[in-house]
Amino acid sequence: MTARQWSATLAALLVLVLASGCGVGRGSAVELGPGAQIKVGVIPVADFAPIYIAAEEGYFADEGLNVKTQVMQNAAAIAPSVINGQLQFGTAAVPPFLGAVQKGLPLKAVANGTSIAADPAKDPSALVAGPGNGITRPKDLEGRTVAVNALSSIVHVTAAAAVKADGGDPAKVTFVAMPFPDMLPALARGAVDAASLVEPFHARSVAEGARVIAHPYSKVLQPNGTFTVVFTAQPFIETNPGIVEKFARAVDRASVEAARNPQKVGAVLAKYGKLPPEVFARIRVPMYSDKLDTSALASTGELMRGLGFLPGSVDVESAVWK
Amino acid sequence: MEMTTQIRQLPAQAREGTGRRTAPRRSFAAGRTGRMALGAGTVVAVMAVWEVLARSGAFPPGSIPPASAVLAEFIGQLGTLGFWEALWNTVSVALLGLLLIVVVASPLALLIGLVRPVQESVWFVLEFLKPIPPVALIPLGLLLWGPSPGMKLFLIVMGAIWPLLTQLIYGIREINGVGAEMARSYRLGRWLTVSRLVVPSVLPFALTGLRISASIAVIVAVVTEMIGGAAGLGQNIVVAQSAGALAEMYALILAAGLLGLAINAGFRGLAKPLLFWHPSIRQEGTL
Amino acid sequence: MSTFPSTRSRGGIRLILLRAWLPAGLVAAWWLASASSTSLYFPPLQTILETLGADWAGPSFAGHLLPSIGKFLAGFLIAAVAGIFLGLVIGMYPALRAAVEPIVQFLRSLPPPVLLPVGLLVFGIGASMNIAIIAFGAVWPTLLNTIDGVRSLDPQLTEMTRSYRLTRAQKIRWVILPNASPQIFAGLRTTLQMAIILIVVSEMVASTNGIGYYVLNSQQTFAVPQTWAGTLVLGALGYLANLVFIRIEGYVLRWQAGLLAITGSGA
Repeated sequence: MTARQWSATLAALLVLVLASGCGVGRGSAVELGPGAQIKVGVIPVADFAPIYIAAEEGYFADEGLNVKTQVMQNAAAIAPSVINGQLQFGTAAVPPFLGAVQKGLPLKAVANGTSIAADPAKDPSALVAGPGNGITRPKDLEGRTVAVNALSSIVHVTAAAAVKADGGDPAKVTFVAMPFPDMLPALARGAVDAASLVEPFHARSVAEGARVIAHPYSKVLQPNGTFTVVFTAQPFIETNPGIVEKFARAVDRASVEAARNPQKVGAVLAKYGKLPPEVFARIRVPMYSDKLDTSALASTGELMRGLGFLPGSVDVESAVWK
Repeated sequence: MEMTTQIRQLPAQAREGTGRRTAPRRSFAAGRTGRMALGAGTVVAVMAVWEVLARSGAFPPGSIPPASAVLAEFIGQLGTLGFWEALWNTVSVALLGLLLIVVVASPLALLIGLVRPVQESVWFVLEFLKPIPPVALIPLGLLLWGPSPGMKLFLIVMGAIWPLLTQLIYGIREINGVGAEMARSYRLGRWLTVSRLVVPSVLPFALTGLRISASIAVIVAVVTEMIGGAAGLGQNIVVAQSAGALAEMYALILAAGLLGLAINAGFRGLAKPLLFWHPSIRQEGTL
Repeated sequence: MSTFPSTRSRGGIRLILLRAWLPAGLVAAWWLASASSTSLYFPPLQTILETLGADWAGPSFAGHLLPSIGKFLAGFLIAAVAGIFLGLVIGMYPALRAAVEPIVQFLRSLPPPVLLPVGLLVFGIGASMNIAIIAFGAVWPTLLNTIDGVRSLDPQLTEMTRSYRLTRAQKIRWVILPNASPQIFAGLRTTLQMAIILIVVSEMVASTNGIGYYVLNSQQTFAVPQTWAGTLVLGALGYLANLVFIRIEGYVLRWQAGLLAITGSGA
């Protein structure tokens, strides 16, 4: 072959790769046979313990489902895989889920993960101020730096909402993203002025004498409303309605069990989440519930829109299965 | 030597980290045992400093656990099945990725090294792709393959192909010159040309490139697992992190570093018997 | 891949065509293949380019690109200077080399994101943390290549410097550096490439601006055209940085070659 032919072959190959890349996106419409493996992308936090309980206690097996859990870091990583059928179900807190739906991703919530406890004493979230910087309430955070686990996450949205609810301007707060374990050292060092934490870091910060200035979740979100969801892709629902039905039923059953038996939550968190039992004994367990609450999704959506996290409104009804 | 990507004025040998020793020295540092003792001494010293800093409270509470705690956790990890599974997930895909890199890079390097128009044509595209971090390609990989070994493979190839490709091109360019003329004028057959000329000239470059690509492949694999959610050491690091299990997190990071070290040493060991005739190996030396 | 043949005989136009057809063809293929795309993750190239124009010719240029270029340059320069200096010292003393080898090899093998917590702890929040992560992650190729360049100095040269009774500084300036420079530059080029990649890694945590921040944030909020646009900007930045580097390298190496010819130490 001459150089020209070689180059032409190479170019043709590249174009082929590019073109095949553009054809993806319909993978979730594939119909799964009975016994086919169903993969769930799970974020390793306490909120999704029911998925593990359903697997451990055989609830999925009772429904005739062969489910495999897959640890993933966040909704941004899970959503594309669900859309393309690499995962059949995913987990997310409400804000990133609504963000994805608002951008036009064909996702639907099929089951409730956790809900918001109305009682601040049961709220696993906390805005914690650093030592000796005089911050006593969320409004004081104007002009300060606050650590959140990821930008536009539930932690970020609720912290900003808490500032606003206290009469402050969230736009004047500098939010920076860092993993939860890095927040307490950053606070101690004065690198950030406050941090928005969840369990198990909330319990640890309290044990170390940190000043909690607010519990953002219970302060700004609709009480008893949906907080995290289990979702799938619209094409998957169309081709596999039976699987969705069974899966949602098993997860709901596990949510009820989790609310009734916290020690089962502790057991799966120790096994899958590397959370030591003695730490679990000290943390505030999220409120597990099987009630997928559309009005709470709508209210969180409005909250996000008001704070500038969503450029437009979300059709919540179309984002929920059934 | 390491990461050598541009070799112009040096004579024809892979700039492997095994250059000539300047003069036979009878110092402590020159002996094999001496070198190892010095290296081990530094490791112990660093560990000791880390331990003292952590115990004295120089680090904020809950930031970095003492070296002894991390080491104990590391040894504890070695006894768990989950650790070895994760390690296998990381290593197997990294090596598979490396194989894929060889399959892709070899013909590409031949084309680029031997056919000038191809080199001119692809240069811009390759130089444009090189600085794109695998991290930025994770959504694309997830979309195409999900949190699977396939995604890891894609990102490993995209991130780690460059050292091998560049080294191979250099190796091929070297035979392209004088040697090829000689082979032609001596009318060496195809087999003789390949075995006496092509392989000996390219092999040192190939092995250097392969070793560097291997180290990068392991790093990309771990990072992909951390962010993209495929099973492996990186994913265990993230799970430990989200549970606040700091000793375990640092023990796994230690394991990731040691893995890279071992892969590097493994490929160095591989080079020795293959290149026994080469000046860089004949003159004993490491780093 | 950078050493272009000189354009002497063939004429520039043919060469330009040769170099441009593939990139142009790929862009055209991408444009056509994606023109009617409804896939969220593969928006039409037109949308991506419009986003690119709107964002990067506008607010993001000063808000994200300039800060990142600043961090990148500072990180690269620190890595380059530290790598060459430490490489010289370690390369000249075998005992030191033996002592630091395991630590250097270990640190080099660490995946860069795991450095972030430590960087945060030591440098806090701000550009200094990003610069430190870039410098620390990218220093290794230069360091190791410099060590090797110094080590593989011709024994005859070492003899010669002894007989000329050069001082240590003179020896470094006139013998070691010129002879090791091709290898040092080979390392520097890899350091450059890694520094670009590390911009993104360093901005994963605790950043409020920068191109890596832009890419990662748009990725997390499902702003796909922005993610693509940011990735294209990264590629362009890497390409341009490499181009500038090759110019400087060519200049310095030519000058060094001249120097070697004068002093005769290259013989």
